[in-house]
This record gives sequence, C-alpha cells and structure tokens, in this order.
Amino acid sequence: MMRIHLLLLLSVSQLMFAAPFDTCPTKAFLFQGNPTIVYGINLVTGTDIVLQDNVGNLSGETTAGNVNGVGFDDYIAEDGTNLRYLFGFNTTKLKFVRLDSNFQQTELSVTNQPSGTFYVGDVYQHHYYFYRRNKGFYKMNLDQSADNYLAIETISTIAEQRLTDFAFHPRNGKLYGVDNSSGILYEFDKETGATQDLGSTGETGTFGAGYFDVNGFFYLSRNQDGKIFRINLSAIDLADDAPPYLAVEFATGPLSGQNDGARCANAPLIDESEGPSTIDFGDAPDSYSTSLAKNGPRHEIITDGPYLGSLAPDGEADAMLGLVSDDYVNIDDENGIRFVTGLARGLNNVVIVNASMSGYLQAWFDWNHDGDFADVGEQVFSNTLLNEGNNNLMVHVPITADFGSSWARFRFGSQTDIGFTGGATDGEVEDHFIEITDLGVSYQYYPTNGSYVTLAYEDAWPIAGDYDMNDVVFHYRTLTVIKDDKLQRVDIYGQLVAIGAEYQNGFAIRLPGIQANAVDTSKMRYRHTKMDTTGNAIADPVTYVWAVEQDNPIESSSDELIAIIAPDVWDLVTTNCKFYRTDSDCTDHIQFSFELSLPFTELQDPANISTLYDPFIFATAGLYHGELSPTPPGRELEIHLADVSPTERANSDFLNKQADTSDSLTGRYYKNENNLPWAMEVATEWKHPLSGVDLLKAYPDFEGYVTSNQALNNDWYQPENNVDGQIFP
Amino acid sequence: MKSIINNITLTLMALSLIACDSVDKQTISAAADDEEIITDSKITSTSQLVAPKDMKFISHKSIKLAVDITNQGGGPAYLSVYSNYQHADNNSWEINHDSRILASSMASSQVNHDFATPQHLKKLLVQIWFYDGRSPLTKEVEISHEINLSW
Repeated sequence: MMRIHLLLLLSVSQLMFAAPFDTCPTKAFLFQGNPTIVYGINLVTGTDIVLQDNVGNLSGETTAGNVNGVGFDDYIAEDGTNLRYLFGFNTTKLKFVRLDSNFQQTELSVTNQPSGTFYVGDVYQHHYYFYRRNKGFYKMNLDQSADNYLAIETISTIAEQRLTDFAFHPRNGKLYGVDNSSGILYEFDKETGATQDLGSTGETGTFGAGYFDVNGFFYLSRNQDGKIFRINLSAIDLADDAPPYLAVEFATGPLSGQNDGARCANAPLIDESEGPSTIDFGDAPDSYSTSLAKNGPRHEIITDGPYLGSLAPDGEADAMLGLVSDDYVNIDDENGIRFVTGLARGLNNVVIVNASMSGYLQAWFDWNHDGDFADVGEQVFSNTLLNEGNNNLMVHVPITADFGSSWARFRFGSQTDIGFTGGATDGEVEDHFIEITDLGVSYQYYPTNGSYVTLAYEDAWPIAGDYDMNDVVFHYRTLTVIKDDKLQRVDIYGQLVAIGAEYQNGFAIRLPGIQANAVDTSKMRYRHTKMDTTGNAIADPVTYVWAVEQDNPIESSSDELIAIIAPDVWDLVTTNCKFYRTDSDCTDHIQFSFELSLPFTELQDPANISTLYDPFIFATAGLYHGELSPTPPGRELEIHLADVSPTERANSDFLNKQADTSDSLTGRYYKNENNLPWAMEVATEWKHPLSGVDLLKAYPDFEGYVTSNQALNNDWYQPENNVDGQIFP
Repeated sequence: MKSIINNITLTLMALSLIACDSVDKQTISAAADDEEIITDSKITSTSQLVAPKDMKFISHKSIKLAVDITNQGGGPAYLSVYSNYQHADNNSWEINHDSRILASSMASSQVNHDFATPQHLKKLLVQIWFYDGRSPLTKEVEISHEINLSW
C-alpha cells in the first residue's frame, strides 16, 4: 500500500514539475529511433539539431522505447495555465505518453485503450487523435477537468488509408494525410472519420512526419531520402479552391527508417520574436519565386559556413521582394558578385564571384525579361565548383537576350543540384538587378551607384529664407545611360531626409529639354519603399512587397518631362514632431525612398545629358505659401537650384519679386542680390543644420568656400567640418 | 567637429598655403594679402555673405576622361571608374563596387567620356577588363578637369 502511494506521489510530482513549452515553437519536432532521439527541424531549410537524445524511462520501465504518433497541444487553460505539451504513443511499451518542454515522457493513465500499437497521431483543441490502418480512428480528451479525461473513444472502425502520419489544418480543423502507396492526399473528418480523396500529390514513399504551418501549408518528411515536400492547402477552406494538391520539393532534411513528426501548427515557419532569423532569402520580384509562400530560395546561415562575398549574410523573416538595392536590408551583404565587364550581348562577360570557402555555385539569368528563370539557357552555372576567394567566371550573354534591366540569381553552398527555388541547409542566395547591354553603351552614376548627394531647399522664395537649409531635404542619385553618345535612359533614386518648412511643398524632377511623351511608359519603373527605424524596408501589408509600384508620375499637363514624386512631401512620412528630422530631440528615422526609371522610346539629344537634371520643390496645391500670394499658388510656385529656369507650369510673376533677383534674359534664376540661392546640392549624404541654425553656424568653412569662389574649402560639407550640436545627428 | 575659431585659423592657413600654389595664384594671393579676408569673423550669418555672381551652389565638377589602350592588342573591353578603393597587401586593389561612377564598354581602343564627380574627391581608380579573359588594367589617377590615360 505504501509503495503504491509513493509511486502515485512520484507520478504527480513528475506531472507537476515537468515544464510545458513556453511558446508555440516554429521548429518542427522529428522523433526517430529506439530509444527515441528528438530533432528540431527547420522546415524552411531542412537543417536539424538534436533537441533530446534521452526522453527518459517511463515509470517501471528500464528503457525509453520509441515514441511515435506525436502531436503538439497548443493549449492555454481559461485561467491562463500553460498546458502546452506534446502527446504521443510509446510503441515499444504500448503506452500513451505526454512529453514536456525537455522532451521527457510521462505515462498517461488512459482508459478504454485499444490493443496494439499506433504510429499516427495529432492533437487538436486539447484532444489527442490517433489512427491505425485496418483497426480504427480514435480520440482522447486531454482536459483534466472533463468527465472523460483520458478516456479513449472510437470515432470509426473503418481505417483504410496507408498512413504513417497525419496532421490537423490549423484553420478548418480537418486532418490530412498522404497514403504512402498511392500518394493520394486524404482529408479526414475528425467527428465521423469520413475520408475524402483529394487526388494524387505526385509523390509516394513513407511520409513518416507531417506538419502544418499557420498559413495552411502541409509539410511531409519522407523517410527514405529525407526530402521535405510542401503541399499548398492554404486555401482549402475556401469555396473556389480545388485539386490538384501537388507535393513540391521544399527542402532536404534528415532521413530515417523510423520517423514521426509534430509541430505547433499555429506558429509561422519563421518567427523573429524567437530571435533574429537565421535564414537568407533572395530579393528579386516574386515572379521569380522568391518569397517563402512561393517556395523561394533560402539558405540556413551556419556559423563559419559558406557564403558569397566578404560578409556573411543576414537573416530575414522572408524575402525582400523587388528591392533593387540591398541598402535597405540590414548589412549590405549582397556583395559577392561583380559584373566587371557588364553583361554585353553576344560576348563572354567576366563575372567575379567571391566565395568564403570552397563550394558549389548555381546561377540563373532572366535573358528574355519574362520574370522567371525557367527558360532554356537561363541556368548559366550548374554545380560549378568555386575556390575560396575570387573566382573569375565567364558568362556568355546570348545575342538574343533582351536589352535593359533584368534579374539574376546566384546560389552558393555545400549542396549540389539545388534549383532556383527551395531550401538549402547552408550557403547564400544573392539576387542581382542586372543590365543587359551592348557595346557602345555607358552608364554614368552620380555620385556613385551606391551613395547619394543631398538636395537642400529653403521654401520661402521669393522672400528671403533663414538659411538653415532644411525646409525640404532629399538624398538624390542619378544614373544616365548613354548609347552611341545619345541619351537612352535616366534613373533617379532618392530618399526624403528632412522637412523643416512652415509651408507644405511637393517634390518633382524635370529632365530639361526632353518631351514628356518621349518616355517609353511600358518599360518605365517608379517605385516607393517605406523604411523602418533601422533603415530597413517595410513590406506593404497587403502585397508583402517592399518596393511598391506607383502610378505613372509624369505630369500630363506639361509638354516637358516632369515627374511628380510627391504633391506634398508630408504625405510620405509621419512624425509626432512639428517638423521631420530637423530638431535634435525629434530623431525620426528616414522613412521614404523612391526609384524612378525613365527609358526613352528614341535616343535623345546628348545636349540633354545632365548630372542632376532638375530636381525642384513647388507649393502644394490649395495651401497658403507666403504673403506674396494671398491665394494658394500651388504648382505655379517653384523653387529650383540656382540659375535653373522654372518650368512651363511656373508663374513668372513670382520672379524678381521680394528678395529674388531672377533675370530670364541673362539666365539668372533663384538668387538674391548677394547671389545666394534658395537651393543647394551637396555632394555627400549631408548632415543638415538643425531648425533655425544658420548654415554658417553649422558649417563655418562654407564662408571661405563662397568668398574664395570655391577655391578653398571644397569639402566644407564633410562631417569633420561641421560644428557639434548644430546639425541634425 | 571643431570650433569656429579653429576653423577660421585653418582657413587662413589654407589661404596662405594656396597663395604659394600655382592654382589661380594671383587671385588667391590678393585675397591672402588682403587683411579684409578676416572679415570672416565679422560675418555671423549666411545672408551676409556675398557670393560670386556665377556661383551655382552645386558641389560637383566635370571631368573629361580619354582612355587609349591601342597598345594592348585590341578586342572589346570594359571601362569602370571607382571612387572608393584601397591598395591591398598583395599589391592588388580592393574595390568597393558600390562606388562606381562610370561603367562603359569599349568597342574601340580609344574612348572619351564626360562625367561628373563630387568636388571633394582627389583621386579615382580606372579599371579595364577584357572579354577574352586577359588580366585587367588598373590605374589610380589624380582628378583634374581633363584626364588622359593610356596603357
């Protein structure tokens, strides 16, 4: 009698102190072997780690045995008690068990236990469901307060499918499993056991482990080769969804003769609340199958593992779709590929690929610009062995390739035969925005292809400003594409840096001398990117795209080519301060960037080639903009760089008024009587003065620069020449 | 960061030094000899400055680059100009490829380009790759309005 009491106390003690799982974990659990070893599987990449190699012995047993049919119970009681445990069946001891967060098993005192062993199980709404072919389909209530706690009920005695695991869809509450022999996907009604044939998945084998993610994707791990397949059941609860539900190879995990899997189906595959992601994704638009939803390429970031370039990649929760530049995503890690000869059609072009260690390279180029890498001839490198350091490789660009912007994808790691989609257990993927070009084409970047100059405006014109030069501040970069000495295309990139203006202003760019209808709008690109506090891009919440396509910005009412970036720059940012990034106690981050590509239908006169073209601000429509104009001037009031003429839309009545001394006859514009401007270009990513701080007070060298007519202090704007406390940090 | 006083001092030193240079010597010497240059200290705001009539308040300068590789055996090549690079220990150049200013194919052995650079830059790296696998040609050049390079 005493002995029984001790055992009961021991059992109660184990149940009380066996800690539940703190969270709904992202990793899938794979149970293998006898005695069972528990692995954590990253379904995204297929990488695995041993979580527990000793699940402990059940009371009265001397060996651990094999735990199978496991399911995760993501259950929090109404009083807040955490009851997140794993449940399964010990096939060696023929006992139902619960496993805690340390994967220690404890026997459950079930009633009505059917005879025999069970390999197939999962948990849903605090009930454990299990199944065996030709025996039956059962459930057991896990609610300790229920009358039927741990009492097994038979749902059906008809069990015809050859399953080795099944899993609950997190939304519709139905079970899904794939028949190992036929490869047919079956849906099981948990109330009646009725099954529905959903057609072939296209794959057969022993699918020993099945898991769902929160979006309704179903993952199957095949014992024989360790391959992880994914079936898209994300819309199966919607009316218009229909087969086929094909199994797509997703990643490669561990192989085993005896597998069972469990996962908290309410968890996303990657949850950065658990810590920074350790998975590298590509960046190309999603037509190239880049996002996780499209089985995009991704690589587990392994310490001291292989990667491209000088910097190991940073992890992401998902792909940064369509970003032309990796500037907006943590460290600039897309640095392993150098197109040192460009990509000229019909030639063998040199591409330098820098590898951190020996490994295999795969690469694809979208030669026909159709938005995929699937066409014949688009895989350029296949299992190419790279040495550590720089590898000079030859890429032959087909003479039939389409001229202009496109994308290329490079994947590098220890694995061979990986495609342009799917997970990889190490390495890196780099997607690159490329230019397919011809001999006779040149690209001029100002200031460079990876940095900006600064445009700083005073908006009181034609009334004198206060020269804090921060009413509107933009970072700005141009790319001029020249073919056969004529202008073929202009790309402009920018970021809104500051707004210190009392008035509201728009921002626009004119390409002087070029007509608005010269642009090939079918190839034009205009995109906005929002950025977070760390300067990283933010995805559109609906489309999950980082760089969001915008409507045609070309001003239709103007003959000359003018692109309106924003009618009111305040529409581009939010702040709790009166101004945006001009007060030292209001340290908002840069929130907005744009990229504009203006290809021309016909080559343009080289006289229209410019370094900056004509970026200008203008009064926002319908709003007061100073005493000179009692009615809102709107587009009629423009402020340009010094000696740049206003556009056709400007009202010339504002010229030569108040402090302005413009004289169209001599080409003098936007200067006061001291020849001082209302706008400046500074050749760096400049730290502008704080609100109300005079430019000279922040940058004393500016005086000598002006008075010497630029002979001195031509670096007056550099960081080492500003005055502490006078500039926006 | 530095104080205004230090800055003025440095500016005056720079004026004296440049007075001995060959660049626009007459103008600068006149300025340096003129005690009125110290009017710097009397100017307390930008609005008090008087700028040269033609000053544009832009901070880039134009460059004419002429490259001649006639003696390199011909064949198409590709020209790149970079602003951020360093000389590595193994006598090679480590180039920041995000500092590219110019990229251009060379269908002939002689090409000319007009482009702009930030005015504070002093030097550039010019590199030419060939499409037939030959080793690249690389030269660092001092920036001037006209740069003529040949190999």
